[in-house]
Amino acid sequence: MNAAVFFAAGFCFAVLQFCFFFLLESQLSSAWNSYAAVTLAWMAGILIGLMVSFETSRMRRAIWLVNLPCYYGVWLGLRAWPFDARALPLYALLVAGSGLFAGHFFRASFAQTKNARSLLLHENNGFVLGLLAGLLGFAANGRLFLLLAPALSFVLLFIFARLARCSL
Amino acid sequence: MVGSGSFEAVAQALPAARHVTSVEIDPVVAAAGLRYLSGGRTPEHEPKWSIEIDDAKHYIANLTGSVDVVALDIAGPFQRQVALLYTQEFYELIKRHLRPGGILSVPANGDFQKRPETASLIVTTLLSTFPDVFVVTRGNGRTSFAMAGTTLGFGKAELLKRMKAEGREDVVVYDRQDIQRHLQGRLIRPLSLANMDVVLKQGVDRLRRKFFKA
Repeated sequence: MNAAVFFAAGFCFAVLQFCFFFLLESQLSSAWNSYAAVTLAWMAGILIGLMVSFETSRMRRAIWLVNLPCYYGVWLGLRAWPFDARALPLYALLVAGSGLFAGHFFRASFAQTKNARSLLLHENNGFVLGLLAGLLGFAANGRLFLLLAPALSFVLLFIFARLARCSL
Repeated sequence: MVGSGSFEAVAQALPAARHVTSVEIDPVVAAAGLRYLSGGRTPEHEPKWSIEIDDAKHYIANLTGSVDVVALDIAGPFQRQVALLYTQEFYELIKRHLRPGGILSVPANGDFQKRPETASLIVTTLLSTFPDVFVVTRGNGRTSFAMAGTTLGFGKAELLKRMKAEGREDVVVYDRQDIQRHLQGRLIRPLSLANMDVVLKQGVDRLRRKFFKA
């Protein structure tokens, strides 16, 4: 499997996490519970994705398809009900939905390559670049970044995965 | 009163206020301020004072009524979370919850007379959101703050007269026209979710000062 896929995945996960944090802190609250909700929900999603085996190609496709709608669900929710903390459990659920894809990605990638070292190295490098992109993107135009960056980074990952012909 | 710090601003506001609510995001900061920094002028037992542990954006957006004064007693826009409290979006939230004649008070973070970048940015953002804006600076250049509102109901002359009557002889007051003249020729984009590069610039400046001292 192509190292570029791991790198693109790390980049995509960093951008997604950054956008979840920035969305909640700008449209809901910068208090600790926003960060705790995103962190815990993302980790819970990853854990579930790591533990559950999505064996059929239909299930795997569903995992890919659920990722972006989860992010844009939070984006839309915060536009519809800004600063309404009652929706935080719903947002946490959607963040977990995105995390589920990350967990599945690690499980499926390891199953195919059996090389955790390479997987984590490239994914981590992509993640660092994604964090940097997040910082620069929010400084340049946070509003646009929140709208476009998750979709673009996800499309990038999808293209790399298709080119590498990996069946994630 | 957004932010707590030493609670000095609360102590200053209490004699003239019917009620003061401090909004502080971090309970530990508030507790430390009360314990170590308030210098015996702690408002803890003052019936006209209360404190809400909440993010100011969330607190103000969920206010049911309106208020006379919102005063920001916070650090400069040098971190993302704090910078959000200097944006057009936050000022719009405040505008919706100010009574007619209500005042927003904002620290300008620098000597406005010398047109530093951060102070100019803050004041430009206020100008883009509120029709009435005044900047007050002290002669020693150490203090500048801005007042803004939709219908403040007083002018520069009245403000100057009042401040001088209180013994502040060295103040300089800028009204909207003065500010525009003062900042003429500078291209400044208001701080908003679509423009927060001040955070990055400040971070880079700080790193440069720390590691690449001239």
